[in-house]
Amino acid sequence: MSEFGRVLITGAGGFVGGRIAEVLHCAELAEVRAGVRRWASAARIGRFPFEIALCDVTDPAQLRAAMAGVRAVVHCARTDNLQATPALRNVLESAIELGAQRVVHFSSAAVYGDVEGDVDDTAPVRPTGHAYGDAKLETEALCTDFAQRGLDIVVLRPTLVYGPYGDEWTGDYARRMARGLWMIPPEYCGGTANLVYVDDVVQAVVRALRTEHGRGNACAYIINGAERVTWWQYFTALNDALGLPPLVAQSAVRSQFAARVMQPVRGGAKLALRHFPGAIRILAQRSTMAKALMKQAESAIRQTPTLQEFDFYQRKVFFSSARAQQFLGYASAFSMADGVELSAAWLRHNHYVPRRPATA
Amino acid sequence: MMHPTGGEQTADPFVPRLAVIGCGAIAEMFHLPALARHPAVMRNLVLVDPNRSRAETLAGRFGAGRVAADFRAVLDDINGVIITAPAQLHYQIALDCLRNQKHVLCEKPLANSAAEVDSLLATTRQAGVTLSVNNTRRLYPSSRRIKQLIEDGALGQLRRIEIVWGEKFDWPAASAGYFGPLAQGKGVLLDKGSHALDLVCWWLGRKPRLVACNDDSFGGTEAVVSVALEHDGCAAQLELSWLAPYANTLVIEGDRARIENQMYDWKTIRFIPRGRPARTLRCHTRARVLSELGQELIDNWIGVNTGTAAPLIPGEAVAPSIALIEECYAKRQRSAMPWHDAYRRSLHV
Repeated sequence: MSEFGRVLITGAGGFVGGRIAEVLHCAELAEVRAGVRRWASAARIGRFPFEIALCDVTDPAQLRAAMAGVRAVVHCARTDNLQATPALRNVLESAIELGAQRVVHFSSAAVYGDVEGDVDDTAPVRPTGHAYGDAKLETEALCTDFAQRGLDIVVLRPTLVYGPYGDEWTGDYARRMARGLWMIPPEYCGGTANLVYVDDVVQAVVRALRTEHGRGNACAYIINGAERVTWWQYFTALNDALGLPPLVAQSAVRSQFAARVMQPVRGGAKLALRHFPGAIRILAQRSTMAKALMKQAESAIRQTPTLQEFDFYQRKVFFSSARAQQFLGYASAFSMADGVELSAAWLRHNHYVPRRPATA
Repeated sequence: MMHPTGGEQTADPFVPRLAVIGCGAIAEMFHLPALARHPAVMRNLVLVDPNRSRAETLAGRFGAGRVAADFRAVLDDINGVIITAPAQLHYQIALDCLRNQKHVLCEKPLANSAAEVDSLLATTRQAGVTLSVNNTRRLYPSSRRIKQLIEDGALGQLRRIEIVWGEKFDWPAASAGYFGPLAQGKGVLLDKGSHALDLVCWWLGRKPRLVACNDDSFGGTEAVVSVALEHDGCAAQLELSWLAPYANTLVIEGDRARIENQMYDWKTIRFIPRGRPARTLRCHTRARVLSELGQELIDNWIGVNTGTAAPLIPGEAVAPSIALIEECYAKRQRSAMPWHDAYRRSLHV
């Protein structure tokens, strides 16, 4: 029997859940049951010989079936914001019903909203009007309710998780860099990049599963990297690690202008893709010119930042993992240089950027 | 006999009586719409799937004659079968049907090994029926034209073939059969590789020598694979992925000219003669959209069943690529993946 016994990971088809499943299996810490909402998301975890189960957290019957016989649940399935609390309720009720001994719930540092300065777990949290953060806050309140009913729950509040298999904070930037035109100038990138390498988050999960907690309270822990780096430092480090030419940023005026012009284009493209996907596919097949135009538009949209991004990259806030360090023993093991190097190796292997020619 | 939509089965002996075995997404999206253009055939059609309600749903939607849960129960009533069941079942179903003297059209991959292909071909000959396979990419007008350009010597002596083809796995009807024990540890190489390696074998006119095969399997189904091949001075490199969108490019380089295409360019070819400007070659086809190529395959196969046509892609055509895929799996090595092993560092802080 492994240290943690059978563990269900919801959202194991995703970036973080997938890595948790891999590590718990490879380190022989658990008998993994990897929960996926649909089979198509199992391509990454299918590489390992552990159990994969359909586990739509919004479907109580499917969830109960996936949770049968597990000792612990790591809940990192993503839902839309409105479904976050009902889905978590399904998880927690099933955990009680089926006797799971511990639940690790993924919340987010987004519960703090647009704060500035140094923030630790003692900072107050309240609804901020941001849908994602508020939805996570609501799930934390539900965890507290269930903890008071005797369920052992640990809440993790990771910051921005990056690393191999991650798109949002890793792969998407690499693609922008590889296209050669960087549209987020340094003067907009002085804010703090609260990035945490994915394996640090996995470490926090392992410690959350291992550490004894007092029942009756769902403790929440910020999980962040240890270094205070700016977004510009991160972008340049990633770009360098990928072996790309130095970032040549557009001027602030041109970048802002491009973002404003692209805003309605982006909205229109999303609308068209949502309502007329079949017609667009057929048009692309019939007309090479239409196909080329679509590709150009897609490339321009991906390359151009949104107006919200300019504010985001300037925020000066640092989230401290001091409480996780004190109570879980968590300590980031990956400097930004480490994380960026590993990410770049993965990005190159997966053709996010042109491969370096083989050397003799 | 009444079918779910109330029509009667056709007794016309010139209308083939067919069964589709496996009612997943490929049948729904590819074969049944094409068969529906032959109403008489459709009225005779039997849809077979262990999930009977799924078969009934599709029968109602497309007007198929009847449904069954087990193909063996309908073999006496039909002339031929289209096999669209999960890949690992193709060989055994095809063998059973051929032994019962039914024409077979099988989705790719036809089988798992060279020995299985040999067995199917021998059974086909003994039974006096036909064995066809749907390796769709051979039907692309661009693929056919490339074959012709190579055979005509327009590229000269081939030096390099490179296929870079990846996208996030998103097959709508993916089931447990794609991963884990049912898939027998065979992933993207069996899926995309069935097309890519088959094209390389077809264009080269034979099975090339395997130089190396590296993938990312840890005992499950590989999601990223790299295959290096060689034949008569021509090096072929294939990079396939289920995890990330690649550039999806095809390069074929000879000493006289080069082809640079996107993997989904199905009716044009970018042809670059050495020292001269690139030209776009448009390939002759009546198909306006890609899905219409499926119609050609189905029309051909109905002709095969009525004795008026030869198989568009006969089973023996894909024997080299199936042997090559088998060899790849036998000799595969795990790729170096430093990002995978790094977890040890975080667990020992």
